[in-house]
Amino acid sequence: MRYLASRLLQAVVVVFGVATVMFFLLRAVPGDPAAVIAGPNASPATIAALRAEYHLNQPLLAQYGNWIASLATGHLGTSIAYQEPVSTLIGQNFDPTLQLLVAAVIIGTAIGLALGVIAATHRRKTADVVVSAFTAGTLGMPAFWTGLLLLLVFAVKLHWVPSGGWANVLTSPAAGLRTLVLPAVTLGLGVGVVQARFVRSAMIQALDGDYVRTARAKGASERSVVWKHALRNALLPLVTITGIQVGVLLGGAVVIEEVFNRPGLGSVVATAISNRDYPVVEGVILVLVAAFCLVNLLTDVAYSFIDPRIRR
Amino acid sequence: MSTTALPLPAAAAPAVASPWRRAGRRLIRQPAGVIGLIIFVGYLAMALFPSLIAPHNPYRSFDGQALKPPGGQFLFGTDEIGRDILSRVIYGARPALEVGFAAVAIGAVIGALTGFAAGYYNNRPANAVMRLWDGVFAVPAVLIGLLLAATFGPGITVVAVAVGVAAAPALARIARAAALAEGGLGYVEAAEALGYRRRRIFFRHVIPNALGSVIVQLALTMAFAILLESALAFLGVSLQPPAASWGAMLADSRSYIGQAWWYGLFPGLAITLLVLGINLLADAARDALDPRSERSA
Repeated sequence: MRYLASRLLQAVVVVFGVATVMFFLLRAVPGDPAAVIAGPNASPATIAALRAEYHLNQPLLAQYGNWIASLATGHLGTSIAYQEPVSTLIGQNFDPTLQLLVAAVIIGTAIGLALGVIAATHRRKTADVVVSAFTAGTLGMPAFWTGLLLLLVFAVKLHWVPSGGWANVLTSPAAGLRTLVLPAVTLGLGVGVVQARFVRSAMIQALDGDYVRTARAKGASERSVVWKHALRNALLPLVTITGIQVGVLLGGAVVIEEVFNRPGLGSVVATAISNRDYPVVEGVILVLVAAFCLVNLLTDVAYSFIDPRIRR
Repeated sequence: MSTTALPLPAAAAPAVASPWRRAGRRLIRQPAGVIGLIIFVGYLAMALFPSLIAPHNPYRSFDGQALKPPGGQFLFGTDEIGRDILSRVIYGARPALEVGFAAVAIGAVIGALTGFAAGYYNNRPANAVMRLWDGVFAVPAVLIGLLLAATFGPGITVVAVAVGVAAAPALARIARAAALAEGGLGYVEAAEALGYRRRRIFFRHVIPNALGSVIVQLALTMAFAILLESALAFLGVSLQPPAASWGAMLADSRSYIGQAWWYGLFPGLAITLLVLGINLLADAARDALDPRSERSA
């Protein structure tokens, strides 16, 4: 419990620190957001009015104080470009990104487990060599390029799936899955090959363990030795790696959403940056950072449940 | 390497090649290391002397040759305004490697150096910097790049800084762990007992000895930098047109994906091969730097 509380505090400090750095960094941007909203032909009076409306004319520290105060009450501010609360904008674009991330983690873990176990159980044989060549090659591929290739083959040439867009998997599963499969495989593949390397070495270590020898000695089938005894112990590092990989996924989602013309938080933040829409940029990045901290917190908690020795 | 700066007991090594030289020898005995080295040197040549290698001017539009498939005088085909894709791929090596080297240098200074300091001095300011890196680690690397590009304008320098910052936390953690381990070894205590200044011990002994584990991570940082730069170029915040950049070429190729498969294929292959080469080199370096691999080498 104490452990959990200290980890939670740490996460809050990180989010707060990121918020602070980001606030001052974005205020260093050359270019007046009020002039951007007002358009090229606006009079100085209009721009001044807009500056006042968004409190852009206040001293920097006062703006910072206001912002932190509103953050503390759960308000992320109002989008300058869309005239909508940032939280609404995030809410509207949250589902496509969340579904993409969840699908990518599932696909990635499946790939990572399968490849890792195959490589470990065929150590130094053909299957191991093929798997490690595949993972090494895939590690070199930029995810957005993998996405473009999949798009070319499965959408443009074969017409199996649409080349972009999105539908909610929960409300319209068929259409949702068709738009989800390529981006999720693209993102998941990148995660899976990283996991595969860790699963392989953890499995090799586990298969050399005394308890595996014991299990074999008592006559357990090879299948049960691999999938029950060894894998359970090899899962620990996988949980950590997956937690860390979520950060990679969050960044990857920004790029992959662009490749597949898929709505989501990534495209929101990309548009907001070119519009100088500070509140949106800050809001989305904060939500993503908070999500990453939360996932890592949960990973640590999960870890201490899987392995009681960690709780101390 | 001044590894003999300390009066060590006579039992210490007789005259043999330095550990770095032995590691280098082990590196080139591994096939993966040799392949990685060849690939990397090839790209280095393209980055240094693109005009000697490229068959055409990468900026020249050949009249009536838009989107020609590979073959004839255009080995990799042409783009939408008739420029030679092979030449543009070759010219793209320079910005990619520039960002790679710059990011490694930045990461080494702000990440590895602060990590070494945190591990050896283990004092309040050093640990505060480590907390800062924890914070940076929580921000996805692509977002660091987008944020800095939004702040300071797009460009290759901003991207290099962003990549260096994004790579710093991992470097700092590994460097800290390595320096922490060195600090517990007898020779550091001996040097302290002999009255050497801590700064001298830090730079002359701790860093050279802890460097091995960080070198591999520096190589991986370069691979990471090249991938991240290409993603940021794809998003349009790195090198600006008409400069040849692999990520930007892939972004442009999207509009012609149905008509010109070669346009989206070769720049991506160029990135993948380079990153693969660096990763192979890093893996081989990891084995070579591990003295336990002496027997098998």
